[in-house]
Amino acid sequence: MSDWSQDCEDLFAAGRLIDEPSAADQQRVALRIAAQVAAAGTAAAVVSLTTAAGSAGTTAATVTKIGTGLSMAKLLVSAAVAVGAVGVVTTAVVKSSGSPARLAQVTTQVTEPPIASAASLPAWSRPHPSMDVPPVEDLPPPVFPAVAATQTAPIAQAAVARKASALPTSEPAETVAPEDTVSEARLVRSIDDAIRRHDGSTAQRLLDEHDATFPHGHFGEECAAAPGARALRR
Amino acid sequence: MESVAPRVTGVDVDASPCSARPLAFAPPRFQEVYDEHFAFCWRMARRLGVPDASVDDVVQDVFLVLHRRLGEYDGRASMRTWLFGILSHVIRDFRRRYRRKDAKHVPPAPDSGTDAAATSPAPTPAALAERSEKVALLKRLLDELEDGKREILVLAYLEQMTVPEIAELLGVNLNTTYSRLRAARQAFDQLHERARGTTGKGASR
Repeated sequence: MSDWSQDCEDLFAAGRLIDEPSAADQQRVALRIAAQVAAAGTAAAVVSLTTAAGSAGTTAATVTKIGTGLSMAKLLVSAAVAVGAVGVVTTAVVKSSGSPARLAQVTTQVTEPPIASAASLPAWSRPHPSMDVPPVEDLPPPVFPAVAATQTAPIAQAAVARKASALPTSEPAETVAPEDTVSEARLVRSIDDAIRRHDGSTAQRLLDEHDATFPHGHFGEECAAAPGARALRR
Repeated sequence: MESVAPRVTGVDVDASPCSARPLAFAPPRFQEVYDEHFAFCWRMARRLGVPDASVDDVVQDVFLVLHRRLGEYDGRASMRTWLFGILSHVIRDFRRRYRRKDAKHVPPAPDSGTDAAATSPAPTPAALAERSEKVALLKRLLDELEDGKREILVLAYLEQMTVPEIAELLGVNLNTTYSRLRAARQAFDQLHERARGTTGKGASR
């Protein structure tokens, strides 16, 4: 056609020589796709697990666990670590290009602790440094701020309600009747009142009473952690 | 250049809905499609104006859509046609977002042909420079074209597809494809003439 000069033809001929992807391009995109697919699968699994837990009534157990020291922050961190692990495992599997690894393998390996191999992965596929947290078991016990001492009573009541429906924990089986827990809560409230009144002797006496009456009580940690109580007990 | 294809391990077609299809038609495995068509998607993304920095994202999105929808593929169109449909949508969506978010950001100028140099068989410096200029000009002119015209020119002259193949790919009839191609060529030629005029090569006008 007359509207198509040789110059135009030359331009396109030059353009045909470029834009081919390299093997590295192909592998890089493959890694990203695999990570996305695995992440999507994990999200779906989390959603279904949450739904199942809710319908089975295990949400109450989760809430109780939070009340006994595993804070929501820790749960979120655990979830983040889990998601990070999924990504790491996925990319680790993908990185071994040439082997016919499949998503099923990813699913299988997610149950294993593969974090150690993270260093060998490309920088983009490593979990964010903020995810490098110690396992939940290694985290220090929660320290309650001073203000908590003045707000223990309503919190304790709520905790009592949660404890009443609690499932057994990993602690040795130490069955505590609900009425005992209520009594303990009352005692803890009295300790709080004493601390607020700066009545050191009463607080000390009640704390001793708590130790004697409820050596494995639910509020032992609260008593020990309250800065006021610690100061009194020194 | 035909690159050695690393395998998309960890992504399995068994995980896509196609595994539940009771029909006799068996969709291809994701891995096979990826290996076979990655280069096509990559080239098309670049040639259809996706900035270099975003090519990864666009191609990734294309294959994620493919992974999700592979079970819907019924084999009536070729996989390349089907994939091109996905690619077109993804690129269109990308352009919309790109224009909205980066309206103030001037797209990076066409590169100086470094990748042309990388694929050149035995280039002399002069030949390299000349080719780089041509590639840069080609990219600039394609950027100025309407999306539809650019698309058909890329398919015809960069991908070197036949008009019937393009017609199938675009889902339009043969005569329409011919007339679109003619219009695209005219538009490109006008832009080219104008570019030559501004660079002084065609300053006789």
